[in-house]
Amino acid sequence: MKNLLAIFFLISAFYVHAGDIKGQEEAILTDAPEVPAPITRKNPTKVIVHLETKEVKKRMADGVEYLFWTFGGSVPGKFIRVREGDEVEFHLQNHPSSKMPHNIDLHAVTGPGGGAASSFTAPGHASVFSFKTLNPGLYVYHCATAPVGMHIANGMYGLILVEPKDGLPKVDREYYVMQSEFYTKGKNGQKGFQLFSEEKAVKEQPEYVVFNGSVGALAGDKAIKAKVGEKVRLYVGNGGPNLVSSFHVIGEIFDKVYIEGGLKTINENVQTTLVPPGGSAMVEFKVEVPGTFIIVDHSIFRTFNKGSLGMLKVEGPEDKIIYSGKTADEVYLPVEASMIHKEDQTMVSNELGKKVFENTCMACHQADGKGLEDAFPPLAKSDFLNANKKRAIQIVLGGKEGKITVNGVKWDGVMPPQELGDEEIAAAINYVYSSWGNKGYKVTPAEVKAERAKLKK
Amino acid sequence: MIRLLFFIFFPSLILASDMVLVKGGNYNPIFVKEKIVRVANFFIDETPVTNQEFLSFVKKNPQWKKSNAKPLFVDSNYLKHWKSDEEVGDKSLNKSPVVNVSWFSAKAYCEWQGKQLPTIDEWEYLAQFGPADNSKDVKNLILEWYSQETPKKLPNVKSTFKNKFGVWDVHGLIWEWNYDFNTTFVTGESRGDSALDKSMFCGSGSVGAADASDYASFMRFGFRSSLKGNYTVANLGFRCVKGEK
Amino acid sequence: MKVFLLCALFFHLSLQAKDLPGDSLYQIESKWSTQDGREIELKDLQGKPTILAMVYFSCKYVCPIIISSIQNLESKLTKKNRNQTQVVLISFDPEKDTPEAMAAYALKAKLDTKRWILMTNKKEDKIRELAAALSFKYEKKGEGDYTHSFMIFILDKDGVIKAKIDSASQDKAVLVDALNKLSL
Repeated sequence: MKNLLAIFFLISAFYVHAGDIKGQEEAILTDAPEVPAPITRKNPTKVIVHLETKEVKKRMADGVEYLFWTFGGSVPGKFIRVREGDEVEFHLQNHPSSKMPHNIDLHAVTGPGGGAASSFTAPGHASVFSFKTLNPGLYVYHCATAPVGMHIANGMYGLILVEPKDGLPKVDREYYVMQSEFYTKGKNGQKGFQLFSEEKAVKEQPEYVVFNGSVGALAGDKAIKAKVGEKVRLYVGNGGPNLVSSFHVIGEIFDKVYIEGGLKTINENVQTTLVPPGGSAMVEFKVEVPGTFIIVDHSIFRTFNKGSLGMLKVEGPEDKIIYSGKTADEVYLPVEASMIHKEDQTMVSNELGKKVFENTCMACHQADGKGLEDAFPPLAKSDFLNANKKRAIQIVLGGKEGKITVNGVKWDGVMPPQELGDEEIAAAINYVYSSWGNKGYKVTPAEVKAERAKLKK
Repeated sequence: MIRLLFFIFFPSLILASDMVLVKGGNYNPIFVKEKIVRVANFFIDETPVTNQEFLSFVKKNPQWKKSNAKPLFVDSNYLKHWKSDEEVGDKSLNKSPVVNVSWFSAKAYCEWQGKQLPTIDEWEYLAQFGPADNSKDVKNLILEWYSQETPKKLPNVKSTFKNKFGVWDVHGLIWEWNYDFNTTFVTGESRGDSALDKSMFCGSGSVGAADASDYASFMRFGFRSSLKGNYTVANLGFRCVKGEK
Repeated sequence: MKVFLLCALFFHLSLQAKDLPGDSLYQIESKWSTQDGREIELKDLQGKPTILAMVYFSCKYVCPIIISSIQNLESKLTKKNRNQTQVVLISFDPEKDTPEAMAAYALKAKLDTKRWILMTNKKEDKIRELAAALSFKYEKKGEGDYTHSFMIFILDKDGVIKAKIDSASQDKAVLVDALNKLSL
């Protein structure tokens, strides 16, 4: 009995002890796409955060510059990583060069304005306030100084992760990706220094939709990386200000989605997940094959026309069973007879030739090959045609313009090049040569191929 | 003759900037719906007060020297861009607007000249007027300034535009102090500002902005509310006014 | 003899006023009119811990709450500490709050005029200065009404702010603690 009591006290003492705030530390903040290391401590602590608001002129896209209003010098703002139960002493510092007062609303804070009322700061000054992280989850923070829309639209948002007491499941790679839009007076791509367009912001018609604050911030040599077999977790935020993101990684399926950044509802095998402005999601997936996986907002015109394109480059051994890559390259001809594919250097069937003639040539040169007066020259018993076989091939391939004489009649018209394969051209010309009293020359697909090559030069 | 007498009684005015007359009129304050405020005629300094002008004030009023001024009246960045108590240092700053000055020091300067700081009503009335030649819409001019960085060295006064009254640089150069800057009840929790927080402020009515899309004006109110009397800011200066009488 | 005493008095008073800390509120120089018809400088308030608030006495809503909060605050002090504390109420409505009006108010509200000083200033800009130093906001609306902050301050003997609350919903304990510390 005594032993049991002793054990009971020991265990409860441990839990009480574990729940007490122990010590203090300065928070390590990171710039996207990096995140601070996972928290290993088992009890809450006092965390001191120093975050500076600064207005910085930077690249939006190649040749395009913008004055971003930032938390920590970049868009998105610094990633803050704390633990459930921590007491955070938050120092918001507004750089002296700022034109605007700024403040911060952290969605992780339970309190008026999420901290906004207590952190309203003039340029060259700092505000301090404290809060306790009562709820775990992935939360957005943003500036809430009037007019809020403009402060957010200029880049004032970031993410704060409040890890649950027991931490999150271990993964091999963690990255920070935040989508947002920018509304510039000039059109997308217009070079030079761009100004904010209030009109476009109100109309919700951005010129740029990007990941991590600029076009290409996550692409090319700035792509995020992983190795085959690794588990990747993306902390995804959406700063808005207006658009909902349909977040998708091309070629991957999310094994797990922590819906809306919460910890209770975890969906599995998701292709595309919604991330609302002012909201977040955590996605996890194991990369099985190497390659470049494109990260997109599946509202697809945003990706290809406005910039919401990122890259995950995965290196490692291939697995042909999961994904083989291209194994064959074939010709596909939706014409009946040519379903029987013959890589034949010799004669092609008359039937094919007739079919091609009827589908393509007959419209102008007529079924009897006699052509149309004042419009199209004849093929039947044509001295022009019979004089030069090679020229006939060239004309079908490349078209013909200008003056010619056929059977004593002058013609000055235009014949367009024919979009047909080597086999079809050979078959059609053979049909013509073997009809209506023509000389019966034979043309092979190889000959057509050779002329085609000459044309390309 | 009157001018001469004026200068005898207020020798400080000899060095001061010229004043121009602003014809009063009506304006609709952004934070009060359907209200028209009538502003009386007033004289105002043509340009913001320059570093050179402020220096002559400090020389005659040593309690406002950098090393003397008290923390109640100025914060630790007071005149930090000056080389010393009685030297601006960089000559190219002589004609640029003095910044890093607090409300108390700005007020003292104006009083030394027998003038006062402009009220918010006077300033907001004046803020409506853009370039006299109508070369640019005033709202766009303001929004452009908000979208740009603060230059490391502020340009000289008279470098932006002149309005129809002959007042220079009302927008586009610096923020400016107002006499009653501490009447703006924007709390910083701007999402809640549309209804007065009765636990923080006593008073009736809402403080919702009459025109929520007038970002240009909104920003000035936001900026004012973040200030305290002894604050100094690197892009905040001032100028003075005098009643018509 | 009288002259000597007068000089000594002046000397003594000026000594007292010297060396105000750089962040003392009492550095604002001006003549304030009290409810008993005196004209005093802020530095005359030096020497005692002070509870200070800015109000106007025809205020129907919040100012009575401020005043009763202060009375409540005082009741939490020991008798000794209370006797050493002065309460200063400054009106930003000099037009209505004349010395007579303020005296009448003090009577009606049963304020202990031995320790409560009600005062105002004929110069509006000096009131504005004091408010700016306190980060107190006030604005005149039409019909003699004002919109203003809810603030109560604790100043030390030299007029330096030691504690404050800026909302009615804040816990007043921080003010009581500050006063107790000052009275030690």
